[in-house]
Amino acid sequence: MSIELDAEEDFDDIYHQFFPVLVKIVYRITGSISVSEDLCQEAFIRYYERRDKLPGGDQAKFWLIRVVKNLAYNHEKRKGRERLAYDKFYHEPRKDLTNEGEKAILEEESKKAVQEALMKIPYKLRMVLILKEYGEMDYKDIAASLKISEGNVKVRVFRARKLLSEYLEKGDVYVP
Amino acid sequence: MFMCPDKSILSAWFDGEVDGLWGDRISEHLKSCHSCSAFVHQMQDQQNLLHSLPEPDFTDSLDRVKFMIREKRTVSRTTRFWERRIPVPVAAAAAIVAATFSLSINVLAGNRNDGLNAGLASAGGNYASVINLPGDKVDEFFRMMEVSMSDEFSSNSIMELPSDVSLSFNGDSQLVKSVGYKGSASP
Ligand SMILES: [Zn+2]
Repeated sequence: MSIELDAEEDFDDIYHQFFPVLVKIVYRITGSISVSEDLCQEAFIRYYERRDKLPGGDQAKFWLIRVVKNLAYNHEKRKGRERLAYDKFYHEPRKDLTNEGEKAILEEESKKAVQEALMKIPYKLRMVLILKEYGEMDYKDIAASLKISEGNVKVRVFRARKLLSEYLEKGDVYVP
Repeated sequence: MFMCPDKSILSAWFDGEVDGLWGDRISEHLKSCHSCSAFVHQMQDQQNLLHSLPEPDFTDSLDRVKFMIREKRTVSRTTRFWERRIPVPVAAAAAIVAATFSLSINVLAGNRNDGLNAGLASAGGNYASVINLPGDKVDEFFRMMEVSMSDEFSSNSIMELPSDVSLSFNGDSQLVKSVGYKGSASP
């Protein structure tokens, strides 16, 4: 019984250590609160089920990232068509600012637009940029978790940034 | 004179991934090169923008994950437990017992060689024992089942559930699906 309780505590530790950052990552990838919560829960349940065979510490984080990466990718493939609808958003004409209310709305819309722009970046590149910006990881960690080379991480981060700038420019995003 | 580094290298430098001599030379170069420092500023703006996005609140998630893990563990323990000994339709029934019903288990003794279905069809037969168990005592039920897994309570044993058992209170569609059994002779 006490072994089970210990395992329970270990799991809690892993959870508290990594769930917040994992869900942040997946939220930026998917743009959906409920989807990111579901996918991360699924990943942690898988981790829980295999926890005897899985490593702890950073390796656990890397393992979880690989799982959510695949889950999110599959989810995106299913939702592919819906995502195209967002493209329209970019080309809607912007009204002039007249008062604070509209300014707030514009700011709100801009935040959405940034998220949409992020989601337009091809998955492989987006994943790496998001791990960099939201995952509290350096190139070495990103390379280890995705099982690619550090050089590859460098290139992907750069390409993702370039594309993001292009999308943001095209989208005429209001930056306060 | 140090030429403008490739933008991908500036991007890596921006991330703190270029150190040593190279890193120093880039820092030095940026002081005097407008174009390169403008690019770095652009990256900084982008990063600020990304970090300005609102963060959703996921504080309730742990409880939900733990709940799901508990649920899943109950189901898989139950299923594995049964699958070894008894054909599937009855399997998840063990979890159903957990709730509100009083259950009687009829242990069919003797040397039957037929499968469960045939056993059910002729369940009027030869009972070694009938055990009544208060429906809300799951753990006791499992303990009892473990004990009874030996000898006569083997692959030829039959569990009978009340025919009006409701499967839906578990709220687990998988469970309901895998049972599909209402105590009648045909699973
Ligand atoms: Zn330069």
